[in-house]
Amino acid sequence: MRSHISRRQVLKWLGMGTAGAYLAACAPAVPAASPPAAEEAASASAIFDWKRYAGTELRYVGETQPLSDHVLSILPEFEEMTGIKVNTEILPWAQMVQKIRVELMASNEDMDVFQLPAGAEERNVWFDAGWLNDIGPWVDDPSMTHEGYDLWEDMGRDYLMEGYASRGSLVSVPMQMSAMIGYYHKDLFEEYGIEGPPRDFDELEAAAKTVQEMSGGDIFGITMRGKPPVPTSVFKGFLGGMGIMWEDEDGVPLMDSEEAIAAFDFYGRLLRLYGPPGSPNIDHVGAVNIFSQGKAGMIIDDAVFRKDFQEPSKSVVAGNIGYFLMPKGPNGQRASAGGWSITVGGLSEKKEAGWYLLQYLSNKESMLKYVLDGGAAPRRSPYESAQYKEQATQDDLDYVQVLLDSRAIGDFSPPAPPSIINLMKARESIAQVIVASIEGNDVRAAAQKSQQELLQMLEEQEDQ
Amino acid sequence: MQQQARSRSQHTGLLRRVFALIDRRLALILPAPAVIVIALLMGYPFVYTLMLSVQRVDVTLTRFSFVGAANLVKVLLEDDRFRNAVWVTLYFSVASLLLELALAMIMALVLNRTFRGLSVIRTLFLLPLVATPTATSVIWLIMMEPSIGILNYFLELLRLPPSLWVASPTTVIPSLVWINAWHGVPFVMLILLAGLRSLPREPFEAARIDGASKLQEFVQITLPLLKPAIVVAMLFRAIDTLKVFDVIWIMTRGGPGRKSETLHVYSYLTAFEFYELGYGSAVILVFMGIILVISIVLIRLRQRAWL
Repeated sequence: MRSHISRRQVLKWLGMGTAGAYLAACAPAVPAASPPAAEEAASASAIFDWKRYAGTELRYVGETQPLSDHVLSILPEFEEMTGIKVNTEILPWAQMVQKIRVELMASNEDMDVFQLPAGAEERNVWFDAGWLNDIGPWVDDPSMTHEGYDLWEDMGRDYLMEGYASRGSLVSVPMQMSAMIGYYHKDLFEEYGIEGPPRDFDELEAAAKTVQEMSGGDIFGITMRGKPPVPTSVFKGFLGGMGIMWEDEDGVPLMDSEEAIAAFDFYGRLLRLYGPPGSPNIDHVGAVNIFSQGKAGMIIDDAVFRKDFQEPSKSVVAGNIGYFLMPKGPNGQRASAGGWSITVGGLSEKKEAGWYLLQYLSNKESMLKYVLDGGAAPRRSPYESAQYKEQATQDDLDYVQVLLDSRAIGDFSPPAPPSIINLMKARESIAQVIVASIEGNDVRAAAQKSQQELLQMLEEQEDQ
Repeated sequence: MQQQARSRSQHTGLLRRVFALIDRRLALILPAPAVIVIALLMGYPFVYTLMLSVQRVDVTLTRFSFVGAANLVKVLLEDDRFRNAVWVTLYFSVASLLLELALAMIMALVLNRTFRGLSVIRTLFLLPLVATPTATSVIWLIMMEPSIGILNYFLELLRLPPSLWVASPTTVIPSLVWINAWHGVPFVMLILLAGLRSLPREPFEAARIDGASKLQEFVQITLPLLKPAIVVAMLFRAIDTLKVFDVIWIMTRGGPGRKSETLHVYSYLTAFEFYELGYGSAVILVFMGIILVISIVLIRLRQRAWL
């Protein structure tokens, strides 16, 4: 059974954070540690030296997104503290992926630190090819990692090993805590007498229907992704609600199973009956726009879009949004969870300096800054800090609660069957079933076709 | 002194021989720079594509294995998606060409007359020609948005039912054809207008004396005389339309479903989204073959039209 983190627990952490800060403030200026402990701490900090790789030049390759804005904002401090110079290349997603792949393929030795674009199965191939490092030993080595970095405890060892490891080795450090969550238009729900956000699939459909009908069709009940290949990330939660995931224990896809067909049918029906017209041509950008314009009562999409929805210059529903956990299905409740991570290149000649950069970007202080700027960090400590508690509004607390609950029911598998290396092709194939369902076509036939395509991809993979 | 004179005469002899060689091989030497540039820019990628098409490349682009003609055979005989792409490409191209020809002909006939404001109208008609397809596609996409787009607002004003435009499997190709025609009509119109201006006057005068109507004049004199210009315009536009990628990629990415997935979109998806470089190269080669055949047919037609 998965643990459920309650609102009370979050408040408890916040309380503990405050108590910790209070105790720290009351503590005498000279630490009252026993002499051996003080010596040990002193020797550990003597071993770790931020200036150890001064003069080194590193390359950082990342995507054009808020995470990179955060990275760029803290780099000057890192450069000053370590004497390491960082050259950054921030590119749109497709170009970034292509650049990283091509350079690694060409055994380029200056692919030092980068945002990791590889999915679970592909990550194994990358790791086997020597393109990624086992980060774990560095984390545990006090001469390589500064005191107080506290990765395993603060992020959770299971969380790290489930989502960011390859063949039992940690290969990257997550920078964002993200999940597919629900957003709803609070005023609208109140006006139409809908009691709170939906908790299960039936309530989700009922709420969508009420909004659509009571607004006379002016406001859509719900908007979600429909344009291939992107809807599979959201669809995963619907699959989980029906009690399955992409494949069985032997790695055989389950896209033509009764559960999958029920999930395709439900997802398509929601958008066909209560979604915007033309949903098969709407991706996450389109869906986010429609919700921001107040044209839809609900949206299920990535937690990172909260920033856009709450920005008054971009959204007419800012300040009027509630959050909900991916609703429960008839046979389960799972939320697509994840968040981008950063890694140190396995072929890099400056791996150690690269690790210095990565640990700085992902340490408690940097993550706290990220959270204070409106991001969602995978560490627990930022949410326990006095600074966050002072700044956090009820809306922040609600949001973090939904994120933490999502993490508890989170599924870290990629948005397509993990056994298939060609993630994009598999996503595209599965998304075609979603399109067929939205258009009201034969879902079973489309699901069987996709299943055949997925099996063929597996077969071709084995041939190689 | 004697030695210097001998050396000079040797130099002169050498130069003379070089010049003689240049004179003899002038036909080879003059086009050489162009040939080298074309060989580098077109020959090398073509040979590389050919080499990739007989290999299977895995998604991490690290493992290459020779598969012979297997990719080509699969493209031609087993791939339903490829067949769908051929059909979509032909539907899109033929519909685009017919619409462009009809609209361009009307515009050329209008602009072939003299009236006040002619130059302003001519400039306005030519504007789409200079617009960037990528930027205008984004604007069309916003205008065609089914719930907040301005085109549906106009339809509503006219009390017509709203359209899903590029979001519907039935209207996606007609919508894309319209956008492609919007880009291409000015070019076709320019060629037709030049053709109209160069037509001889005598046949028209003779027809008028014989009492031919305007329609008869157009069908029986203007059209046959304009045939060479029409074929040239269609040749250029056919090649351009078969190659259209930006407009479709931005507006639909080949969707909804695979309803607007042309050969170009399919080959791009295969090679650069699915990272199947070998198979994608085979698709591109077959696509090239198709363009080659269509071009040869059109060039033959043009040659006949000039006769």
